Amino acid sequence: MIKLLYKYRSIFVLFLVILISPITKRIIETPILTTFLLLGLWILIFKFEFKYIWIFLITLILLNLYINRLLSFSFNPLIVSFDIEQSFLGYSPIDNSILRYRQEGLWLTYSLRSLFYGNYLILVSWLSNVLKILSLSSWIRVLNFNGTMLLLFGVINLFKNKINLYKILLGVFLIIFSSSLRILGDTVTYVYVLYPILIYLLFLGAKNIYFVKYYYFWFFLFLVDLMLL
Amino acid sequence: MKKNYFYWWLSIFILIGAFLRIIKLDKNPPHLGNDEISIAYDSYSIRTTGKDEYGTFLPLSFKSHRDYKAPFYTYLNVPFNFIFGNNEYGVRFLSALAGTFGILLIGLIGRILGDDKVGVLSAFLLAINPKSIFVSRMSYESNLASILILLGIYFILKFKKILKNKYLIFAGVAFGFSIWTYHTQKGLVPLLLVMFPILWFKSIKFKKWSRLWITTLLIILPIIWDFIFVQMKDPYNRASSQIWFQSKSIQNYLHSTNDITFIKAIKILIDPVVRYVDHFDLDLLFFRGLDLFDKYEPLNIGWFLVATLPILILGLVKLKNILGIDNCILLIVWWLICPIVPSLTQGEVSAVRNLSFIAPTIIIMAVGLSSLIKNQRLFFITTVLILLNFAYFLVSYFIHFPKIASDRFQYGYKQAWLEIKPIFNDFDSVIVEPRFGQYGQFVGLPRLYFGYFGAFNSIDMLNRNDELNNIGKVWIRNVNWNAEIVEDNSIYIVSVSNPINDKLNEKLELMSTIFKTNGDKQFLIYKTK
Repeated sequence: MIKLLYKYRSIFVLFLVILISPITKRIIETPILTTFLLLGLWILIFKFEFKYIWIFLITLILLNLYINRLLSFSFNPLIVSFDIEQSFLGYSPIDNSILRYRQEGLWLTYSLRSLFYGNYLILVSWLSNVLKILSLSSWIRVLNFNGTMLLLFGVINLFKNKINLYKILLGVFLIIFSSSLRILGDTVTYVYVLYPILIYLLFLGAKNIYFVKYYYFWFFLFLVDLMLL
Repeated sequence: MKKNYFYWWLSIFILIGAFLRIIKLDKNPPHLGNDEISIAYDSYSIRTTGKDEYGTFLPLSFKSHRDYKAPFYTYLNVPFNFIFGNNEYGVRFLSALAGTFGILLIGLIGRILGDDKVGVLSAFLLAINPKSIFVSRMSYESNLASILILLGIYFILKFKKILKNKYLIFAGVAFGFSIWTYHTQKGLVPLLLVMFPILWFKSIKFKKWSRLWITTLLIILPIIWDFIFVQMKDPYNRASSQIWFQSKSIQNYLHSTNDITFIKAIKILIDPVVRYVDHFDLDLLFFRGLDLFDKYEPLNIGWFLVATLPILILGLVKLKNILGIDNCILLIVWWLICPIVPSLTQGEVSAVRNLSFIAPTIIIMAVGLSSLIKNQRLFFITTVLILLNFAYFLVSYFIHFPKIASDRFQYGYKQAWLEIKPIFNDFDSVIVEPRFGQYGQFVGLPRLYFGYFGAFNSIDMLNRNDELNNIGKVWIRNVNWNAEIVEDNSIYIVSVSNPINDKLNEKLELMSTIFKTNGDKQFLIYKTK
């Protein structure tokens, strides 16, 4: 049994990380069809050449917006609606702030004021949300301490072996950018669509030589996370 | 870069930095804040009576709001209070000067760790750093303390370079006085005192460091004595209640849980770890850290300009190549230990407690930027983007921030005093409400503002009657108009939420209204007819 565990230790470690991660609960709560659809889309992205994957990426983004409750569909009659009020694009406090800046910004002429305090400032609030998701603390919320350590090793391995590097980077950033369009959302939902990639990166992390060398440190973090559950 | 050019560029950035830190100190922030007025008053009181506002002669910690402020800033500020008088410059100028001195220091440290380019670019990036400008324009002790830490590190690097023992003594003095300046340094300095000997144990024997340790210890002995025998005797002192495990959430958890002791310990110990990680939150560092406006406002600014994020990443990648392995490790360890002590306190990540974090981050960014110099076009584009981002910070900080910051800085007490000053001697009593804000929801410190700006002198303050809350003819209390007995020759300065009732119209008349910086009403001033 121990020999078997040692042989498949990467899978075993991956299993343990996933087992106590909040993202597992999210996968269980989501309809199984969506989970499989996501998995299928990511497999297609990996399988096809770079120039053909845009169609799958667009589908993935639409699905992500749907999961983040920004996009809703109804088929009879066919209605597609985007909840602009829940997104940075139509969040009234931001619009009001920009309007206030224009009123206060008397140091500029009227025409320059609408240029300097343009609606493009919305992008700043949006980018702020993007960086929030990219921060280490967000990943700890999604994967706990032990999973985040494994993820970091996985990212290092990804940059070293460069297999599917650009596809993964493109996919991850598109998903994070589209998720963070929603103003108030939870971090797990923001990155839920990335779960196949996360599992892949965790698996890569479990194969990293430094992880293998210092696995007991990971095990310590795993025990801490287990106790914090 | 030729040596002369290094000092030319450094001087230019020091001048720019000084200009940004000193200009309009009396206008922005729009009013002295809670801690500022406390330091300002104590400085003035020490200058005139040798005692703080509570009557303690030359204290080693200023009781203030029971936070027992470290004393160095207040004492060092006495000559500035003498030169500028009781106004905003009289308390903020020292911090602005310290912030400017920091630009020189970071330039020299950057040059020692890397080369002239890293030094100059470090000075440039610190000169325009939002967090550094923000804290240098207020009388934050933590700003002075972080500059003293930087001075100590500079002397240690000089010691490493030319191995003269006097630099260790200088470093010990700087570190020691940083502990005299701010509480966080009580934890950070010991970490630094251990960091250098461990990192350089191959080249410098442990015995050599004894000069540094002994000097620091000798300088902080009085502070340790004060901490044990004065501060710890006050059961309500703020310093010991700021430690993370005293937070309400942890105390509630401890009282309500059935977890075994080991689990409890883990759950309590993980709290500072989470807060430590939060110090590296990109959103906080680059978008929201200064907390100038509400959460999602686009003109919010982080501790660093967002345009410097790419050069921070680049700097981390290039650090080893440009600085060499020893300096690379030194800088990274310095960078990583700075948030340790602030993480041990409760509450959200504080921009003030973690000021020492700025310098190593800036040097890493400077390394990133200097690696772009070979590619002139990329260097030019990056610099333009940084300057554009900086322009937005200037607009945000100098134009829009003062308009919304009134309540945060208890705006209006100084203005109310200036309003009644010409007729002050004609009246027998002035009643000032400590509450302010649209609904009277905040409580301010009018006695310090009125004392500092001249309604009474420091002797009157020492002879005040705490039970009646009166100092000379100034009375500090909330007013209930239904029960108020209005005496002749009185002035009332009340919150806008507390206008007089119709019954009192015969006795009192509205003399003036104090407006906030955004035009809303803050105080109503009535005088007897």
